[in-house]
Amino acid sequence: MNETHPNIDRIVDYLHGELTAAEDAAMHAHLAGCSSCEELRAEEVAITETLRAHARAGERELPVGLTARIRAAAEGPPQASLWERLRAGLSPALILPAAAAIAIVLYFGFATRHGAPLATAIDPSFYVRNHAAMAASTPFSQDGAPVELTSSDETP
Amino acid sequence: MKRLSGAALALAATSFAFAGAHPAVDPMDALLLSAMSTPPNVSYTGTVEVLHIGNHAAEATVFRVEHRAPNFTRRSYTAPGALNGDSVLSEGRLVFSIDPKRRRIVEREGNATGDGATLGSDYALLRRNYRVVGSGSETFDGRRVLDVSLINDYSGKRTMTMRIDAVSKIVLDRQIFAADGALVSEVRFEAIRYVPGLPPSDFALPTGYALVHGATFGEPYGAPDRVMRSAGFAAREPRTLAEGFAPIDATLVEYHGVRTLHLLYSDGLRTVSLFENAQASTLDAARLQPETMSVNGASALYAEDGPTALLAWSDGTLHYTLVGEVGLVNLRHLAQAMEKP
Repeated sequence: MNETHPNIDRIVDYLHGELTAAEDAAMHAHLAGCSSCEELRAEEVAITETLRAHARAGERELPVGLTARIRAAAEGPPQASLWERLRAGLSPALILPAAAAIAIVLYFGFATRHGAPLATAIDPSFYVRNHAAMAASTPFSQDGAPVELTSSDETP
Repeated sequence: MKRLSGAALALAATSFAFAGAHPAVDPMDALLLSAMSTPPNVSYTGTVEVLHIGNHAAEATVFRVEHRAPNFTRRSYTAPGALNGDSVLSEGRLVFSIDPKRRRIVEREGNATGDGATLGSDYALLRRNYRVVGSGSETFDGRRVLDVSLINDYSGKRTMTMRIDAVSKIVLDRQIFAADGALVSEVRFEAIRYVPGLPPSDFALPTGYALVHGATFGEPYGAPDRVMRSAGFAAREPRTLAEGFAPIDATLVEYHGVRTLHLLYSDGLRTVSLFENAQASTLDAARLQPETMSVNGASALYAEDGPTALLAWSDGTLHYTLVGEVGLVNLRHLAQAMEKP
């Protein structure tokens, strides 16, 4: 059999994803059936991995706390909390009418809810998401958007 | 864990024994099994486009995928905009959904499709209801692919076509069709590249995120008969199941205190969920502009949410909702099978 083997440059291009789709497919098929070229590819991969490991070993992390100190310096002095600002803005003249209004709303809200029992309205998305989550484990499932990422915090 | 009948398990066992002992196993069956499995030693990168088409709306999702053999996969979403930047990392059965907008990771344990017993039962159910037919080969995205169709035994109609890479056996394109031949969904690889390996750092979880267990979607799943017994109310099953559908999973979920049984039925390719509860509840489907119809003499609501259809009704004791991408006809058949004797 008179088969043409790719040279090492072509194999390197293949490893770096620089071949066209058709060339990539042809190379993949060739490597699957040619042990000598597969050996060359494996050697090239080993060299790349070694270089990558060296590069990783040379990386340095920032000293602990440096990021926090930079952020603190950029943000300036600490601001008053929301509660502190609210407390400063409220006077007894405002607090008493507000408390009365809240009590009225609570009373009538309670009374309404304890009348005739109401059917719980269930949002369709509850059913659709639970269906998608369970069906995701079947073969050839729909591969759509992941349930955990499309749900809101409010939807159980 | 999935429940399968003794006959299905026997079929699966026979198929595997045959495949292992006899080199002359039907090549189409061998190809289908390969396509359903996660290849143990093929790493790849690429872009996947997913399209679901409903009667009134279609949904598209695009993600970049990196798979490091044997079992690390990362999907990085680029569309739709609401998902852009989100990613899902899986390692075997563990799935981590990474949400940078809310700085959280949702962890859950799923069924790793394509492994061991799960593959055996999935394959058995699929082959019980579908024929595998090869229709030649062609070039797709620069690669030689084998075209395979799954024909439904009951309707005689083609339900799925796949383009399977002749070398790696990965499904590069698959289309699902409705009974009338309309395209319902497509999952398509673009620019797939097989790579010798991917650095482990590509599959590392981000630090500083809250880790949340994704228990809110009713996991863990269990055998349907066992879960039904623990529902806390007299749950009901369909008297008959059409077209080879079988119960495969179940769980109990709660919505604002409404305890609901969730059963999943499948024919090996298509799935439909049945939800039932005993407390007063209604389907709030106004935004989906539902239609009213009759099911077993009771008023029912039918609505479509993108490609997914919902049918909800009550028999006076229990409230039911069917959900699936199987079309109104199949949903109504299942609903009719819930009629009280």
